[in-house]
Amino acid sequence: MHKTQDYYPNCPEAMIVSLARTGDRSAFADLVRRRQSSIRNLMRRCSGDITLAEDLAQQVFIQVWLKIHTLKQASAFSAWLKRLAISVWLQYLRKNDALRDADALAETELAHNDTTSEGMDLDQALAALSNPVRLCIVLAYHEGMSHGEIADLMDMPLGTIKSHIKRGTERLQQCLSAYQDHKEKLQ
Amino acid sequence: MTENQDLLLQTLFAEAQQDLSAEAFTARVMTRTQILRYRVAVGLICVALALAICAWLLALPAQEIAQLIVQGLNTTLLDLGDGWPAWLLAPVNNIASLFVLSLKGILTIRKKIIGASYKI
Repeated sequence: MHKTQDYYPNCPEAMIVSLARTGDRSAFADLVRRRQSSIRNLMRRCSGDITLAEDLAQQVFIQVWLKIHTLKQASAFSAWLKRLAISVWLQYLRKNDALRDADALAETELAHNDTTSEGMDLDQALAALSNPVRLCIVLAYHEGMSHGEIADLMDMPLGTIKSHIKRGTERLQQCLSAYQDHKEKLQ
Repeated sequence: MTENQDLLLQTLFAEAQQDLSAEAFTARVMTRTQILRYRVAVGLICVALALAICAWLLALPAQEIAQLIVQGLNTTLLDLGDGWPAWLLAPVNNIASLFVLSLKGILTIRKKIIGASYKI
């Protein structure tokens, strides 16, 4: 396994991105080091599976390595990386045909989860949502994106996104009500 | 920008954010990109070798076919003997010029009929 070293500890990210675009592997390693945490967290929220999330996050950075020369503005790296990560997740869903039956599956899961909602943590609660709903929720709450931005990113109508987020929020509130009660008791 | 977000969910998402250790993950990504680089290099070498072998195998037949085509296109349409008319009309007195002129004529007629512009 490769030993990585922090070559650019105090450099601005735009400069490191520019270096990585020229094929500088040390700069690329530095970008991975700086951004890995947010991408891995995003994938964990999306997939709810740590092993899968690690693999997908690695795939995201491999895509970055392959496509970074196409990035025109180094300052746009952050948004570009986020878009790439979502694209990797959507590709994974399409490859596994998860989007097609997602709604039906989620409804079934919800029926089972209704009785066991106590103690569910966030990832478990997210797992009870259908993939499109979960992705909308993650983008809204984890990434702080607006509904319009999510609609653009997912190429879906704004109304659908709003409906997904509303439905997902209600579902999560329901699943996490026990957690909320517990927290209130602690306070 | 976020719209009408639930405060509990906001808090939970913020709390769920972990600062994950970078070293092992970065090393794995770098190893995978290194493997990818080797694979691409090996792929390119294989393609180059395959092209070189194809060129070596097909060079002679391709040259013969090219010669036959050139000979065919150079075939004179009318036998004008060895005098100056034959020399003067040589550029147009062959199958190749017949092809070019026919094509040009067809395109001109088509352009007039359809009203579109074509380039040859």
